[in-house]
Amino acid sequence: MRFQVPAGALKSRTLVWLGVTVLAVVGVSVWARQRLQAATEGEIARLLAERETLQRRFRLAEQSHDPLGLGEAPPGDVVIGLPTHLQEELLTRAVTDLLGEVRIQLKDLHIHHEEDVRAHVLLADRRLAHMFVDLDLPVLAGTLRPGIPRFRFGGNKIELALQISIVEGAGHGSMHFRWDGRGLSNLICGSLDITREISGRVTPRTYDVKGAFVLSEDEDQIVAVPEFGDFVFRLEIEPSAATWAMVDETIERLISDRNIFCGYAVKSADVPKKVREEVNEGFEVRLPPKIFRPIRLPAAFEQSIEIKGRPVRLQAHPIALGLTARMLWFGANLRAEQPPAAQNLPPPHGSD
Amino acid sequence: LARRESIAEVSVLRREVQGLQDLVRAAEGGGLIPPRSLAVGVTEGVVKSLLSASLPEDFAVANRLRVLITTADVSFRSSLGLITLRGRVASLDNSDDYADVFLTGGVATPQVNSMGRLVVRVALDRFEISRVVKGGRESRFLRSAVETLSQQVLDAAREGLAPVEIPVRIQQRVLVPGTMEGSVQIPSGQVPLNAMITRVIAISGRLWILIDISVGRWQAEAVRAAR
Repeated sequence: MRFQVPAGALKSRTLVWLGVTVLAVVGVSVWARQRLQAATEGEIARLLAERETLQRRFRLAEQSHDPLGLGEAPPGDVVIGLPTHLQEELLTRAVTDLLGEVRIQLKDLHIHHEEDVRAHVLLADRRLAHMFVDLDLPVLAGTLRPGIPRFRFGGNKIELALQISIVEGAGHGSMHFRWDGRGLSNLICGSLDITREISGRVTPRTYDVKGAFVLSEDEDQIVAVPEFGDFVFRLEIEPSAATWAMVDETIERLISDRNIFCGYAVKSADVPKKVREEVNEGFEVRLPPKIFRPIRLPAAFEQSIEIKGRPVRLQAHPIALGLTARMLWFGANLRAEQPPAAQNLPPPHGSD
Repeated sequence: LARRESIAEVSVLRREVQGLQDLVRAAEGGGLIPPRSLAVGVTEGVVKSLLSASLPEDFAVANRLRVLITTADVSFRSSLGLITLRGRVASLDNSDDYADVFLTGGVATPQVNSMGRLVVRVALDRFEISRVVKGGRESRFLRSAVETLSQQVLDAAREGLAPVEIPVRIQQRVLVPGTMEGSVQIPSGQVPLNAMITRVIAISGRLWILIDISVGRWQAEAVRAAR
């Protein structure tokens, strides 16, 4: 017995199966997409929560770790903060390295001494002569050597204390010795007027220097302006061995050329000792404060920027300058002078 | 479409979380802010003004679309910073067919250019469509078409937007003027500096750019003006 399925019924059944299959596929697809969407939304929720937690942790950590004191920054559209470490390092380099390069040329150094020379001669205390000693050094050249600077930050200034030595100082000059015999002694010793070349070097000494760099605005930049007085010190000269030999020889000659009374008188006056005392007094030297130079700190507000290749001039209005224990702060508000185009004018500061 | 947006959001969130994890690790480890850094802080308002001054900006994408960026918003409230650009993506053939879009991202690591100026680029990583219009009516088909080009739009915007110059100059040397007058002779010289940006972070409405400056030894040079 054979069943014959009508062609129409077969077609209907196929269509039903096809429909069921399509529905199943669509259903599974929708289900899968919903599952995926749910998973994605779950991931978004998890990431949002993690972001929130991380932001909270960040805020807490950031508040407790602020070595530069960013939280204390002054107002201003733009602020620049230079840490004291950096200022100290910069100033140390700029001051000590530079001072090591400073050459000084002291000109026309002069020592003058004169006195009556008295001695017990012929049973009486007599004025033998009037003695003049002049030491002239037309040029004394030397080099400065700075010690390690110490800084103190506060207010609007950086105080500086350091020691400076003058090294490698040497010069040539002349010694003028004049012996004017007086009265009886003039008969004994007469007069003497001699000039001799001398040379010497600076006796190494260390001198204390104190002053400050005052921080001030110069348009767009902070400049550390030196505030030091004249650097006054007493420079001691160590005449060369040849110079002392020459002094001794001159005195000896004075004695030997004259008579025994003259020799006695000059020896009594101890002229070489007086010359030494004068030399040891040294020279008062005054160095101008310009051995410290103004220093421009390395960050500045820019007065012009480029926007799409066009220059735009800006006006930086400094509104804050302050030195804390950690930072030097410099704050400014900015305003465009000329817009690149009318519709592109940056609005005044602070506007959002 | 919703799924595509969600996947994009997941991608952006993952990047944000990754960035935050790095920042939190640095902050909790005490290394967020290097203590020797020179700090430059710029307000949201300044960056917004400078960014807006270069707008409108337009560029073509895939020879099919014209992207016009018209406005910018800047927020430095979260640690990473948020920059939102608004604009319109339109068909090159028919400007009546368009999508209003916004692109979001943060600030890429700034550079110090050869003139010592700080230059900041916008790092865009998210593209969203607020409205799509074709022939005066909302069009889902066009939305989908624009969506498929989202990455190209982001890339084109990243490349096409002019970098923002922060009006701060970081000098590469400190010049010290000399003097050859009188009893003191001081040669002119300079202290060379090497600047390297170590971190960029948004805190309390300011973008902070932290720069490590290493100081070289003083070098004598020929006498010249101080600046």
